[in-house]
Amino acid sequence: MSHTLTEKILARASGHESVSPGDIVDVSVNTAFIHDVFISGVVEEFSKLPHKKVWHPDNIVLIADHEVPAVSEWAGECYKTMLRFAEAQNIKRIHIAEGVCHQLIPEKGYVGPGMVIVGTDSHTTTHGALGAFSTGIGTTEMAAVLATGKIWLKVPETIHFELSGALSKGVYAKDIVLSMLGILGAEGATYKAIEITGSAVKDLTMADRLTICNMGVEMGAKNALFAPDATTMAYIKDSGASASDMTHVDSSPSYAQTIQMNLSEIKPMLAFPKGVDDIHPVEEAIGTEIHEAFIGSCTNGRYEDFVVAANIIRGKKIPEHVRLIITPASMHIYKRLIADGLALDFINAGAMITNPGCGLCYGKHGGVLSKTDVAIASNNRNFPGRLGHKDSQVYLASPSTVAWSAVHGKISAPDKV
Amino acid sequence: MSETIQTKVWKFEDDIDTDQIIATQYLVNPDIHDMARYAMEIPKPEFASSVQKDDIIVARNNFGCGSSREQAPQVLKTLGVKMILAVSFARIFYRNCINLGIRPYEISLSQYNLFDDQSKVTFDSQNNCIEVQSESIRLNPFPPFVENILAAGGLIAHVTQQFNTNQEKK
Repeated sequence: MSHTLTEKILARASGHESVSPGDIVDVSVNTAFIHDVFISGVVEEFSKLPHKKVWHPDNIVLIADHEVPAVSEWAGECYKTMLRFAEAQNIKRIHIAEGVCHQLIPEKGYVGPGMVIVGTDSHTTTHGALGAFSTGIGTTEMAAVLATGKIWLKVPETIHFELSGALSKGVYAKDIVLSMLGILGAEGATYKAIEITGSAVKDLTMADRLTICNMGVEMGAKNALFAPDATTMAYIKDSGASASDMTHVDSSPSYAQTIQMNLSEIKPMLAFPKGVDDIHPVEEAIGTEIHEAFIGSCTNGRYEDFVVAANIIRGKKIPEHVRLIITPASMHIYKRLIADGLALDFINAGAMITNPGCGLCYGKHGGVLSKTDVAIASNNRNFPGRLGHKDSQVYLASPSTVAWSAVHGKISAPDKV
Repeated sequence: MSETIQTKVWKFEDDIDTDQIIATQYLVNPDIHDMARYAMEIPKPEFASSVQKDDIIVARNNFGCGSSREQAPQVLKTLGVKMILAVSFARIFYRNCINLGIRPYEISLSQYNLFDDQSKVTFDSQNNCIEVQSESIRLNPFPPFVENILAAGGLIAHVTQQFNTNQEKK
């Protein structure tokens, strides 16, 4: 019997010859990461356990990204808790205000193909882009992982997307994943894995794959992944990640469902306000006035995203009624924007550039929306109140669509204003 | 122990996300009891002040979707909720419930439709049944592995028990 990539990884990591959907297995973890919002909770739960030391300090990563710079009197204590825990447990992989966790994990080489990754953030599905099994967990669960290096998992069924064709000009990975959300809905993949294959995958960059896997959780998925290929190997050669856990991919595994997508048929898409799965072509909202435009986040805050946006924005002026906010996902990306002149293109157009972080995307700081604000944003969520006031409205879109809309002060597409 | 108890139903629709269970701005509150006063503030403002110990939440699809914040099930536990019935749960929330010792039971849509908000139903703990509108809903038992965690009172207690057992063996 042939197995899906998720089944292959979980079999290896649990020491079984093979596993099947529904099996509950005890899985060894390669990388466990915790961010600033949950560090206090994890440390508190860990302190209740009789284990005095973490299972292996080099497999643990601590990242302060949500509360940087501090947004409350509480944040500074979170950093200190993180620093104290790192020192006490000899954890060397600690990054305070260096970037968003879902950018740093791949960038720093903490994820490689075949690995099992867990993080205290729902968007941990992102790292399946490199052919890993990667999923978000809670604080109590993380404390148990720190103590034992293991986690219980129920082997998920796999939904298979088979991608063919090529994207048209002006259509991006974000439009692919929004289209997937349109097909499956916000719960279509609950408890399940999403595996993406097909002739079109070779043309997707690592940034594209990270965008798609990032929003796997918006469909309810436990994990989302691409099989490792030449693009993956080139990426980890740069990042320094290990490929030693890589398992070979079976031909024709048994999927719960296969969905064919021809990328040439995909158009620029939007998630309409208050529903990540309320998906419509951009055409349907052309002309809607916006007050804030956001390019950033763990979904679309990568260098490639800013190149697309800068090519649209360069030399233009953002209208007075729009706040354009640019948030690179890591300091490494930020430095490239400065070195290559993109940062200046954005500033000259009237944009604000913020430090790497999660503040805006989780409604905390750096662009909080008012009651009557309408925003277009490249992030992953638009639940009521997610980016500010519960009545504010957020359209999710690709960096390209956000950039066009920012330039015109209303939702726009390249040939439609 | 094997008593039947009368409990009140708090009924919710689809896609109650963790931001609605407990909004981001309250997460900084170091006191879980204080934080719990704002549970369900957007979908049901009266919930936090009126919910009683052992009341049950009945929700439709995708309950607990959104962020991985464990404060979401934690505030519900703090308010005395021990059992949540939903047509489906978001995955992380479901796991967090088990790891905190809250019982998340899946029910069918037709069973969901039997419940009225604020109505009283009877929970029979011996038979693991809920009597509602003269029907008896049998709650599906958890796999033994999960039941062990719930029986220990959550994952921390379970891992501690395992550690202590291993120490005794040594």
